[in-house]
Amino acid sequence: MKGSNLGELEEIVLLVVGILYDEAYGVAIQEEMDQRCDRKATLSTIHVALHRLEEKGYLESRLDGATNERGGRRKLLFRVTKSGQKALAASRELRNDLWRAIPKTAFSI
Amino acid sequence: MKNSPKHTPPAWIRKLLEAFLDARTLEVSLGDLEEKFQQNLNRMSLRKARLLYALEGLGFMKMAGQRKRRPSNQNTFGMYKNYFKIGWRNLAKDKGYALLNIGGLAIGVAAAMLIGLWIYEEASFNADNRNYHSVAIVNKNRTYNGNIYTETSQALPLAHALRTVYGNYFENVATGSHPFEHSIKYGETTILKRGLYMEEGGQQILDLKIISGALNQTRDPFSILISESVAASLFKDESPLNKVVRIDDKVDVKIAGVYRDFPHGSTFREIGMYGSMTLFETTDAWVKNSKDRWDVNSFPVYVRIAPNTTFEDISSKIKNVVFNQTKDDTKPELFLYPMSKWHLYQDFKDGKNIGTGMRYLWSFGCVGIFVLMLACINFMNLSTARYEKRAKEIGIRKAMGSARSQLIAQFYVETFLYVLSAIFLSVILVHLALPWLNEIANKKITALLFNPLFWLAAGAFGIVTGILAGSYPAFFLSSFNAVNVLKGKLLTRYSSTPRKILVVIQFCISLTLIIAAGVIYEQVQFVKNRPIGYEKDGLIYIQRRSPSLNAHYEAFKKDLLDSRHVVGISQSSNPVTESWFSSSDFAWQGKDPDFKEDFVTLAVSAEFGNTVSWELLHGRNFSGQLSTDSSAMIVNESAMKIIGKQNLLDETITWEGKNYRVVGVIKDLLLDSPYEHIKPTVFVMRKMNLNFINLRLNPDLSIAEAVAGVEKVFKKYSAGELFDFRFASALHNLKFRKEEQVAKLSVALSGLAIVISCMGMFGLASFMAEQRTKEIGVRKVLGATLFNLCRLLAADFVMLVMISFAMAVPFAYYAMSNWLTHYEYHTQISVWIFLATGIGAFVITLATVCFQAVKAALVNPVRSLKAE
Repeated sequence: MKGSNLGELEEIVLLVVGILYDEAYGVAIQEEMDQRCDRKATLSTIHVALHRLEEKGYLESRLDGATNERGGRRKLLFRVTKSGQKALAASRELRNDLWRAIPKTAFSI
Repeated sequence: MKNSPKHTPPAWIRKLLEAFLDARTLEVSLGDLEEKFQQNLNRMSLRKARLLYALEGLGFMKMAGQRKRRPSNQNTFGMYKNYFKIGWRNLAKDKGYALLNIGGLAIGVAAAMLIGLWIYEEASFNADNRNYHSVAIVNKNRTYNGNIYTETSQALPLAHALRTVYGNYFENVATGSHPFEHSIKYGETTILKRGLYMEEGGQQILDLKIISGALNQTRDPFSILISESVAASLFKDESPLNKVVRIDDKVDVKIAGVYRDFPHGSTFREIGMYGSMTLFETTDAWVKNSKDRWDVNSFPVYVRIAPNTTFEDISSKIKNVVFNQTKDDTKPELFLYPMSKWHLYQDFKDGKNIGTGMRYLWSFGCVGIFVLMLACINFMNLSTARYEKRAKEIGIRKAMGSARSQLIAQFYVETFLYVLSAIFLSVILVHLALPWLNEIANKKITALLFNPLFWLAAGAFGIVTGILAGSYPAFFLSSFNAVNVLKGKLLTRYSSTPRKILVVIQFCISLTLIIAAGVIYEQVQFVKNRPIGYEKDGLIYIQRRSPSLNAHYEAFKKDLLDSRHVVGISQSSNPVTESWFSSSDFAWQGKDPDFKEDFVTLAVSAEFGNTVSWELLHGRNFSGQLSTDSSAMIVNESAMKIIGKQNLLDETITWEGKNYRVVGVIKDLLLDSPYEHIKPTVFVMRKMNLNFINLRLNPDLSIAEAVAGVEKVFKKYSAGELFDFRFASALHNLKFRKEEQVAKLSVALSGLAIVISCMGMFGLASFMAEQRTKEIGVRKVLGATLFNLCRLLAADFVMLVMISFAMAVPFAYYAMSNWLTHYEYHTQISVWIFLATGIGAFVITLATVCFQAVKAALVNPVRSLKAE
């Protein structure tokens, strides 16, 4: 598996999947991203990211009940795996380390 | 919730994704898209929602490549690899056999491809014209003595009548000239080129592809267009536009434009010059004088019909236009003769269009299919003979658990290996043979290496042949019972019967082709040896184009005779190799009043008979001295027979109201087609239209010397003109070109057919000899001689070939006598063709088979009996 580091979009998607907990699928993730981060992404972009995250083992998916507004098609629901949680934690840790290393005089905020 | 049809997302996105995404991604993505779409419907207009759907949907094409390979339960790759490996090893194991088999098939395929290319070329003749489907020429049927004759030339007022009364049926109506040769002179350069004069609209009808300049022929009647090749030879690198050239040494015209040369496959391919009819009237006074005459029929009329009309409709509408004018008792009926038929249906019989060209196309198409069939039969025969040797292999494969379908696949893969190699080889052969074909068929067929259609056809052909040729081994051999095969019970008494039948069919076809080629060859020779009634060698003629030679003809004649380069000189209204004029206005004592047949008429000068060296049967030649000879007439033998008198001398014949006295009867001169009966012909001494000068070269000089001498004198009298002369013998030989082509092609094809058949027989004989190795060994031990053994092996094949011969004879005889009846003047099929074919087949068979037989018989029996 190529690099296990998280891309920026991937990280956001992974976090949003975490927020939505058991209701994370394409459209819901798109809306959540729009509302919370004011970030517009197309469905296909999100799906590509989801697919890649699944390949890296950070997400797991299952097909679930069909609804009428989807034309009778099932949803692909995602959930963050243990290694996904670890990757998110590692990423936050890395950032925190970096923040801490910045000298107080350098940043004025 | 079902929406009304309008409230649905665009379906093409769904279809697109269905084509590219795997099932899971598809379901999920379409589901998401649909959900989003439904939400959007509440927020925005339908149009915007649909647009967003489309954009979002297209985005999913990113995932097209992420389709996961579904793990299959079986890996069949190794199996196919094995098929190829075994197939290849079998091919490489017996190279001689592979060569025979692949080579035979490749030759057959190449022949079929060449014929296919030829047919394609013939069928697309003239198709370069963008108005191909709407252009026609106006033809006219006239009835004489109950026979209908079809004429292409019309009177000048016809086009005007068609335009004014029937104008809305036509886009263009344009009278034109026949494609006569004209001399075009620029500076010191003179070239001779065929040209067309046409009325307004001719450019659209011919579909002239103008490269530079333009011609408005109404405004500018004294300008012409020339073809690219003419421009190149006249002006080299200069721009031809607005240059002034002199035509036929009569009139100066300006070059208004240049058009791209007509393609080789076009009726107009030789046309190098295009001008207006006004120009034609200026150069030729008789054209101007014919302007209002309905009785001078010398001009083809071309039309381009309007859309939404048909040739048939218009033909029925314009049928009586000429008759209404002339009230002619030959009942002229006009009809349109569409361009698409000009090339392949160029002949008319009893007013009906018949396709001579089409007949050749069909015949050669059939021959092509036959040759292909031969090659396929060969292929099957050789394959089956070979596969029978592998019966044990099949038994073992079956015993080891091969399914029948796997054996079928194995045999098919092997067959396709052979077929593919053969097709590649044949493409190479086609490219090697194309120049040769182009030369004898007078074509410019180009290789189609880069034409995808060609490869598609070749591929399709390969698949069909592969399936056909592979079917026997694949289905028959794989059906063997493993136990029987391993016990060696395969070869029953009749197992070779189908193969024998195929050999008989094969030889039947090739022998028929050989007999046919023989008959065609015989017919061509027969017609070539037809007595023509004059001496064609050393006879040349000059067409007079310039006025200066006319004025000084007598001096020119004297100079020539004095120079001793010629021994005879005379004038005539047309060359002796053609007939141009005919008339039905003849009367004589005792003439049947219903008789209306045309007589060919020639106006000649007194010395004509001596110049062409015709043979007098009765009476004498014209005399320049006797003033009464201005009303003398010489007739040919056919005319005498038609008139029906034993002695025609001194009889009076009336032609167009004038009385002529017959002074001589000559043996028939062959003016027209050598395949037709000779028409009744009369010769008179008229001073009109003597446009051709016939010269009998001095036989003591070489032809080149004599011609050079004539040219010197010619230049003296007509300095500005090109010395353009024709050999009567060359023009005569031109009449056989088509038939000679056919003869050459059929000889080549029948040769190929017999070669293919022999290759097959050679292969079969070798297999048979191999199979009977032990038998031959035992026979030798028991004292059989070499001759005994050869007879044993050859007898079977000779028998088969003789059966084929017996079948081919009646078939070929029937077909070829039918073919010969298409020619009025034809040979009888001679017995020697059949005899020669029969004996030839016998000898070839013996030679082919005996080679194998002798080889088998010479083997030391100790060795052959020791094997295994």
